[in-house]
Amino acid sequence: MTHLTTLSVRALGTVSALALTAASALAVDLTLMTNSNDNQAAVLADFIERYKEVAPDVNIELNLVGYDVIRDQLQTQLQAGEGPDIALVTNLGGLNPFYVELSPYVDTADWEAAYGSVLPWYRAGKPDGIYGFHTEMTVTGPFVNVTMFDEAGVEIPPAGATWDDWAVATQAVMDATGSYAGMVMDRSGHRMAGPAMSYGAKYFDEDGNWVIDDGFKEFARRMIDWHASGLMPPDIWPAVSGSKYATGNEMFFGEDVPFYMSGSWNTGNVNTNVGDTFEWAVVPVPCGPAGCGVMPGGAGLVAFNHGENAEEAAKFVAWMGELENAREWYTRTSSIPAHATLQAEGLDYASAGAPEAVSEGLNLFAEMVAAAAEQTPQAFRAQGSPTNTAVFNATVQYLAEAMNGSITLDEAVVKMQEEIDKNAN
Amino acid sequence: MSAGALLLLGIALAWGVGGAVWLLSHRSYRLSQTPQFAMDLLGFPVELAQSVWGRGGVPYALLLPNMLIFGFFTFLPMILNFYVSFTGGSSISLFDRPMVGTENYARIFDCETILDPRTCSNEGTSFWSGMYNTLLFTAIQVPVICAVSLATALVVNKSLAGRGFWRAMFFYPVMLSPVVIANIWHWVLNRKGILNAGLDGAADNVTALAGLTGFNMVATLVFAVLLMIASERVVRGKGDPSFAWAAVFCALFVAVFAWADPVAMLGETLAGLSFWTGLATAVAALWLVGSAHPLARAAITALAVVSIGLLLLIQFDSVFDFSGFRPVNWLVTPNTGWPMFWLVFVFCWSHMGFYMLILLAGLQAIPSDLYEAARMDGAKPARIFRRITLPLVMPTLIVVLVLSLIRSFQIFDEVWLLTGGGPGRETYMIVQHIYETAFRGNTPAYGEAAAASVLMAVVIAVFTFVQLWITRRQSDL
Repeated sequence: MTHLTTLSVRALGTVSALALTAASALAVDLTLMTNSNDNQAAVLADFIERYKEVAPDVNIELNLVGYDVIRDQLQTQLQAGEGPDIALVTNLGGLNPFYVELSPYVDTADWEAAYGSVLPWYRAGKPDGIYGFHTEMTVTGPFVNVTMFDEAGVEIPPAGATWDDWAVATQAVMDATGSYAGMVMDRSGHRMAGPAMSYGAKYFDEDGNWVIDDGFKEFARRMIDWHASGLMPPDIWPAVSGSKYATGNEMFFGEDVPFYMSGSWNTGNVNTNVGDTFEWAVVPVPCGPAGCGVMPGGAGLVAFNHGENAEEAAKFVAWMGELENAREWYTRTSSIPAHATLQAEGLDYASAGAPEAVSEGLNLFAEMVAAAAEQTPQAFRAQGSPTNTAVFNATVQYLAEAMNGSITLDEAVVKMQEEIDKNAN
Repeated sequence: MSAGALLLLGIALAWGVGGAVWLLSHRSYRLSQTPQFAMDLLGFPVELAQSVWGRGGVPYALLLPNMLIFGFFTFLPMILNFYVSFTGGSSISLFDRPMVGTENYARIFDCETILDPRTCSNEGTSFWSGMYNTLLFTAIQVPVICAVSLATALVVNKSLAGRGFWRAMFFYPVMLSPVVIANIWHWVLNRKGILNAGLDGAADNVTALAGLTGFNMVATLVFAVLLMIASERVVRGKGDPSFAWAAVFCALFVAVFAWADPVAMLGETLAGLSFWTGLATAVAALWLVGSAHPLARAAITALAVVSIGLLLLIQFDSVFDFSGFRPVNWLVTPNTGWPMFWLVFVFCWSHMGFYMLILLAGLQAIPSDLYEAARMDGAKPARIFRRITLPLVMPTLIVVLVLSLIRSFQIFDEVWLLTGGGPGRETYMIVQHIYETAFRGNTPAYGEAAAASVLMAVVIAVFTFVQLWITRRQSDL
């Protein structure tokens, strides 16, 4: 009897050990790479925690990095078969070869109906496929420091005012307040594309090839003049070489400039960082003879196909894109929704603690993108192209050199076109 | 288990188990000889090598592990890099890269004139801009760091108080990571950094002081006294005039001459030339003093009289009015030369300690009896330096020259973090070109980057061989 008991205990112990081993073998560890854009990382962490109820064996580790890592290094990591399992990316079409197709894990009809307008941006020219949850619809546009305008006694230019009108107004603010500069724009070809379209830049020729035309030169010349006069600061565009990204956030937060060309994704960030320091507002984007151009865009949560756990990664992305999760995500992160139902219903940002300036700003951004769809439709075409990053990088690199006087604008345009023909056409 | 771990396990088993079996089968050990057995087991690979290759083969066997690591991590990447430079595409996998022959090199050399990067293809523009900036940086930085390192080594080689402390202080930046160095200097040099804050505060204080009643008179008196003291110190005594005091006097003279601006009296168009005129005069006077010329004292006395007269022309309250001072954007203002200046400065600051240490060793190897003999013969310090120190420290200086040249050609971290290669391409270096070509943007061009690496290696090799040839010639002489 004793012998039997001993055997039973040993057998039980062996079974328990095997069960434990099996359980640990089933556990899946995923990494999710994202940059710290306002509170997005914190909200993601909440979702990851809650996902444990859906998939208890899936552990997702949040890897918080700078935006430049995602923009410049992620692709190389993926090419080498390394990198995260999931990431929040902005180069939506360019990373397509590394995406997991989500169709097996979602109701494709529902997703097409909900996210149909943005899904082609992920496809890189393929006719169909679902590759990501669009976490944010973004629109480029300006923020102004209302307090500085008030102190200077300068009226904020109304909707429909041109970039030249804004240059005059911000110069007046600069002169009156002694600010470091009048206008600042992130060092990004994407940020500049909308204004260039306002001055007639087509970006595509009749054959559908990317092209740098006279409309682009028209606005580029203004950018060069504004940097030469000091209206735009040397710290952002001319300061570095190549296509390196630089943000104007710190200058705007530090009241060095009254006008900052950024975008809707930055609304929460501006609200958090400015606080009560000064009164800020989103204003309608300045216009040009060809319209009031802005660039649409966005970020998306995607799963990558290099790891053993690609299926689990895809399931998490699919879960994030479900209606109620999407609603909570967009509301808590103060993002413009990409989900058709939520766009129609509207979101109650105030319920998530967003102040009035944020709600108003996001609504204004939504209006801007609607107007741009009518006036500068090439913006949407450019956003959908998988090679747009190469074009935007080329414009930044050579325009910045022209701003420093090392090459002329005409030489810069020739070099931009050469780069674009090599990498994008 | 990974391949590396399996390999390690195999080596460990072969060493531990195989060695034990071999030793026990060839020798007999008692239990008390366990420590000896352990030591024999530890030296088993050497013993095995000796038994297989004989005594002459042992050194090679000892070198083998190191050579394997060196070959795998240094030579193999070099060979792969050379191969990649003849391939195209954007895949990182060697097997997916099509051969393109010398196309990557041809693009770099696709220029109307190679001396003007703007006339090149985009790859050529980027490569040659980086190459010329790197050559410029090297041409300025290498002589500066050699001179400063030698001067510092000479100073800390003397028996001054706290010599160990000063040596440690100069060496300390060498231990810092380039990222830390760049961040420290970014805090100092950015628009709202420590340097501008200090300058702004000083400008405010001096301007406030200059606005006080009677400032003009007091400043005139102070400068007159300073000039008198300095000139008197130069001319006093019967020996050679003091060069150090002459330098102080000349600095004061140049300032007074520039502020009084007497050349402007000759015509409006000549305004601003006073500084250069004053500087040229001061240098001439310094040369007279330095060469112990009989007219040196007379020259200094004459300049003192002139400068006292010029003092009466200066409105010190306007000279010291800095109310129009605006912070200088040291790292981003284009076409000023400041970004390159600060790069050279920061690079020297951070690397000087290492070269100083090498030169210090060279200086300490010079026999002291040579100096004693020279001093007994009445040789002056400048002559001793020129005739004894410099020739004997020259081999070490050549080593420093080669090392600093190679290191300055490889500059990247500090530039990337301090200026990002800007403004424009003013500080864009060749390594940054290679990095950006390979790893930035959505179409990584590994082939072009590899070709640029090969060309950069060729340039470094040429410089190094030339210097080694000069060194060999010197040692032969």
